[in-house]
Amino acid sequence: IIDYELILSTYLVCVGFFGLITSRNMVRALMSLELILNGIILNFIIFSNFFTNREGGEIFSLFIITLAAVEAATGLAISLSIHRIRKCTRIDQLNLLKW
Amino acid sequence: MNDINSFLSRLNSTINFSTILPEIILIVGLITIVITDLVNKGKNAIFLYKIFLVSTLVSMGILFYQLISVIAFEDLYTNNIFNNLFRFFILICSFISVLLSVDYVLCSKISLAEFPLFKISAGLGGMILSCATDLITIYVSLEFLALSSCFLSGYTKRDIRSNEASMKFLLMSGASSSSLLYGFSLLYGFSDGQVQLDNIIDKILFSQYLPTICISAAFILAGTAFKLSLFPFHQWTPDVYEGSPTPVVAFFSVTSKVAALSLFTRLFRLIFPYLSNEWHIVVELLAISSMILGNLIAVTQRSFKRMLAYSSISQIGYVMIGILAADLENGYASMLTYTFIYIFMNLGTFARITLFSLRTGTDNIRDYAGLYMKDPVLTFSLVLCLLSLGGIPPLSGFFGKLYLFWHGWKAGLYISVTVALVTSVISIYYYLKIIKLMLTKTTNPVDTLKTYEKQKSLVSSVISTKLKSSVEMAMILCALASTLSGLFMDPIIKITRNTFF
Repeated sequence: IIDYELILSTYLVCVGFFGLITSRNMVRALMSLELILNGIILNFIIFSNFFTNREGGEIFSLFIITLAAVEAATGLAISLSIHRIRKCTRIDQLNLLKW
Repeated sequence: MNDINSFLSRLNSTINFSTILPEIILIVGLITIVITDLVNKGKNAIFLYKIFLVSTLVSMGILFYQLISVIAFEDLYTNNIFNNLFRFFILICSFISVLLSVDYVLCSKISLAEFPLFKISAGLGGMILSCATDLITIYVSLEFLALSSCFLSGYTKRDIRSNEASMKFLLMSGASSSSLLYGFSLLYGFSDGQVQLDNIIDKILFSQYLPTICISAAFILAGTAFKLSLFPFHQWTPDVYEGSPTPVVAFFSVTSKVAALSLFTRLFRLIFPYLSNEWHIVVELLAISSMILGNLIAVTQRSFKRMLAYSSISQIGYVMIGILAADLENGYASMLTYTFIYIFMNLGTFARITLFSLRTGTDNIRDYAGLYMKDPVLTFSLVLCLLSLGGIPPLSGFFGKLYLFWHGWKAGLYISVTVALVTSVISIYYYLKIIKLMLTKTTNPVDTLKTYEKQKSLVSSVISTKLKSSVEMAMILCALASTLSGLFMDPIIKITRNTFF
């Protein structure tokens, strides 16, 4: 049964990556980043279920949840500052820096 | 009360406070900066910078003292020469990069107080990353460094290019550190629930799940190669370097690369020693392609910062040879020596770019024409640093590269060293192109001179006399270090030799 669970978490990570790559909106990209991190948290919890001392994976998951929140806060701060200048948060229109 | 006593006694036995004393001093400096800024309500902001510099210097002094005497090992935090040297490098980077950023931040009229805050937190993240032996500590400190750098790169809020650079940096660093984390989760699972790196090696050494360990190695490689900007993961580097404010680029071009080097070395040398054939081949491929790509594209660049971004990609390619060539008697001496010299060369070049862009506001290479007539000190020190980056004989870059390539040849990496030599020669071309442009007689129109006078008066009226020439101080320090380190190469090599683990 562990392989089904691992496949589920890998599927979440893949969906998150797809969302991150193909999103035109900054907020949607941040949501996909959160999804990737949540898939990885699920991976840790699945593994920690099978060991006698469960502390390692579960404590690590708490840290990852916190860091995911921090990254989301950072991303929202940056998208707010982009929004103030450009009045929209589309990230495919940011093409000033090339080659 | 009883619980607090037992908790404190357990805390004292697990964390030996003298080992993390440099970080504690930096944290105290951070809190002092926040409180001082709140109390002063935004006036007298130079005092914050002085606090930063003092705390960095004290921390460096303590670390230097610890380097001389050996302190006991701990669980989360081992102290050996490798870790301490990297912490020392990161402290040097923070110190010099704050010296060269004071004028820039003052002149661009943005909020002044958060800048040393973010720099201290990024320096702290880098220092903890250099000593971390635990998956959790590695991930948290890596994210600490990355997110502080992200805030720093978006510091000039009104400039759209800075916002774009910071957004790109955040999204790509989030994606890559989640890839690293996925590799960590596989390692955690297949080593029976161990989180400390030493325990993980014991458990996965004779495991039967070898393909999964290889997959986790691939994910970890993807995650760390992003921070190092090796070949397929280098796409963020030129955009972020061009968009961010120049002193910030100086800071995280050295700090995050140095911290990522220590992370990369520790992870790959400790966890995957028996896979060393596989990851040697992959890292060699990455190093060769980043050297070729970095140097070839740098030839075509018109913006100085972008050109330096591509050249730093190729410098990391050279350092990868040093990692691959580590053996028992010499440790990581070649990599550490070249990293030390690279810090000074890179920071010196960025100091001069900062000074130049303060005076003229431009970043194009063509605008450097005829600089010799207007400011010979700037020109001469820039010539020294660029030649050192290129690897011309009496300067220290040459000695660093010589040692690196000699080690690589001795370790059998013939293809890598040949490619490195050829691309080194190509890099001399684009450095000399700038030097020739500076030393020839064609001058710019008169507008730039007017901008120079206006900036100079603004600067000297706002800041105190002690820090008026802090950029020049940083410039001269780096120029001296990048010329004279070559002569003092032997003691440096002797110190860095004892670092194999």
